[in-house]
Amino acid sequence: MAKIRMVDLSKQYDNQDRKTIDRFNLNIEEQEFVVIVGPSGCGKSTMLRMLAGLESISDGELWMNDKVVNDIPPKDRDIALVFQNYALYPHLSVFDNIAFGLKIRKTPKDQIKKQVEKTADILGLTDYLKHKPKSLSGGQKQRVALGRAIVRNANIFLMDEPLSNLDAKLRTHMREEIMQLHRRLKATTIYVTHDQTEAMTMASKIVILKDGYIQQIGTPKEVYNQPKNIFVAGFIGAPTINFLPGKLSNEEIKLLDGTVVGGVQQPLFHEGDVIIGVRPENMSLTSEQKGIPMSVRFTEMMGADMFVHGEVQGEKWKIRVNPDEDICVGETIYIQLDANKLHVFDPHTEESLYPHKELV
Amino acid sequence: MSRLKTVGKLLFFIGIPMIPLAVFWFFPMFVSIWLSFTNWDYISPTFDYVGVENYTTTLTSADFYQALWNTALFAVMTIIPTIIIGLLLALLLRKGLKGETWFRAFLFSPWITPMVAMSIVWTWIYEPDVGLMNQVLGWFHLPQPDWLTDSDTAIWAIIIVTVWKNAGWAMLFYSDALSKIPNDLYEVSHLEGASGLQRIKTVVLPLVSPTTLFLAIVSAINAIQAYDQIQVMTQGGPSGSTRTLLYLYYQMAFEQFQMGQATALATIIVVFTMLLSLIMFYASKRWVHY
Repeated sequence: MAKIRMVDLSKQYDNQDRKTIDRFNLNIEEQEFVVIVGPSGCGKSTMLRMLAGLESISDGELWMNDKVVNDIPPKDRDIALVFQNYALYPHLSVFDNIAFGLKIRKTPKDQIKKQVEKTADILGLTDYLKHKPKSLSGGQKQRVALGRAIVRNANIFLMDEPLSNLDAKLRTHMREEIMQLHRRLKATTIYVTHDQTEAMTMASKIVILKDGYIQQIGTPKEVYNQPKNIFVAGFIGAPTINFLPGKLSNEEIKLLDGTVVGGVQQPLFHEGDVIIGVRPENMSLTSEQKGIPMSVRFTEMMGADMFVHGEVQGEKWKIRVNPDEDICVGETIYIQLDANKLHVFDPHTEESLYPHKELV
Repeated sequence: MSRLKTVGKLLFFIGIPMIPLAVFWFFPMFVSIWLSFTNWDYISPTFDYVGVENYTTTLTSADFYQALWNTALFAVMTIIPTIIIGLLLALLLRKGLKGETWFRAFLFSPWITPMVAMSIVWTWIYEPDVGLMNQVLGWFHLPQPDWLTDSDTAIWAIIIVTVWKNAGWAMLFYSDALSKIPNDLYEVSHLEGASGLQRIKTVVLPLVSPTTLFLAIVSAINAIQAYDQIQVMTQGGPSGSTRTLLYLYYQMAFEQFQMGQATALATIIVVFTMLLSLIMFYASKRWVHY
């Protein structure tokens, strides 16, 4: 089993002024499932490729178990990488694609056969071993790509947006399969994605990255309930969180017009302007006297829930309501915020005013 | 009625392009097959039918077998180096060297230069006493053959010119084929620790195999049809050592005026070309991956 430690890891390309990755520090424990998530161009794939050894490390140290592996070639790093585009050899059968790494490493033939068959069995590919990749569906191709990783018994799995090319239904299904696989193989896994749903559902630890900097590290629950800054609050959660300028005085959270909407969860000793963040599910409909008015722009019926999109004091807001509510476009509804579930951010630094324990 | 209209339309659209094909290709081909059963001498208004005599004469003559051997040697020895050198150049240029575009243009330039002009220049290069080739060989104290006037080396001289001309062309096709291989596939083999050679064997060769087949077939046809360089540099000599089947046909038809026998040979060449293409095509099923 493998532990990974990244110390001040940086990457700068020769032709760029800005660092793609800037002083990245992260500890990954044995058997952890870490998801690195962020918008495109945030450096998450570069990070993964540095771990794999496909990109050189400009600065800092990368430890795997008790060794610095900065200069160790990929084949000696005990890693297996799963690519977004599967990267299957079109001229090789499923069997030969899975066996590729073993053949390069000159593993004895009977052992290759045994290992490939076992892997195919785990992934439900036994009937397809003789097929060429072009006759497989997207999900099957991704399974073959996983197979190539599994067959080598690597202790670290790196996955670069492995589900991005699949349709929504298959993605949910494969997500489950990957989780099951992780429980079964117990390999330390680092999974890169831009999809916050994948991050939330799969990760034991989420790393949120933006412009090459780590924004927050935490469990899915932590990053959702205690976002460290406005970016994290907005990135995690679907539909996204709502923001509204407000004020903090006497440990009370107020709207700009002075309406008190809640209290702080712990003393903050902060007075003045803040940005209030509230998730769509932390609000409810109420009567005209008690609520904040919201003009309805459109509604989204999801079945179990209904999302109402509208405007509150000039800001675009979403609120989750009971699907049985009868709400029309153009109507004004009145909402009440859950006083205990409010987030407050400093409008200048965009950081949360609640203190955070620093997870590395 | 509408069915008739459709058929009419089809005939119209297919028929018009077929006219030049019929006039300049099918018709001459059938005439030449018909001529191969006569003893026409290219000039007289009269001729006799001689049956298959032209074919039996051709297939039993020593000249034919010498030309067949020369053609085979010429074909094999131009196709293989053209393909190997073309691929190596393409692999070299893939690395994105400085001035790569210029280098590529430079390598490709022989292909767009007329063979006749190049052959004249190469005759000077091959000149035994003052030619560039022997000068260079002299610097390295290597043997300096008489190239075009020695029956042992003449065919090799022509092979070198042909490969030199074709390699840049093959490179261009390979460059395109290589650029279509997704980078992921190289990275997978890199991650697994494949050496450069292993990577070429397991990734590059199988994935460029359709290009290799294409180049092999076109080069084979080019080799069978080689004429310009032979005409300019050796005229089939010395003592028939560079006389290929096509050049033999040319000599029979337009130097010896045995049109009947020449067209019989031409028919044999066509059959050979077809057989060769078919064999390559079927053999390719084993090693070409689309």
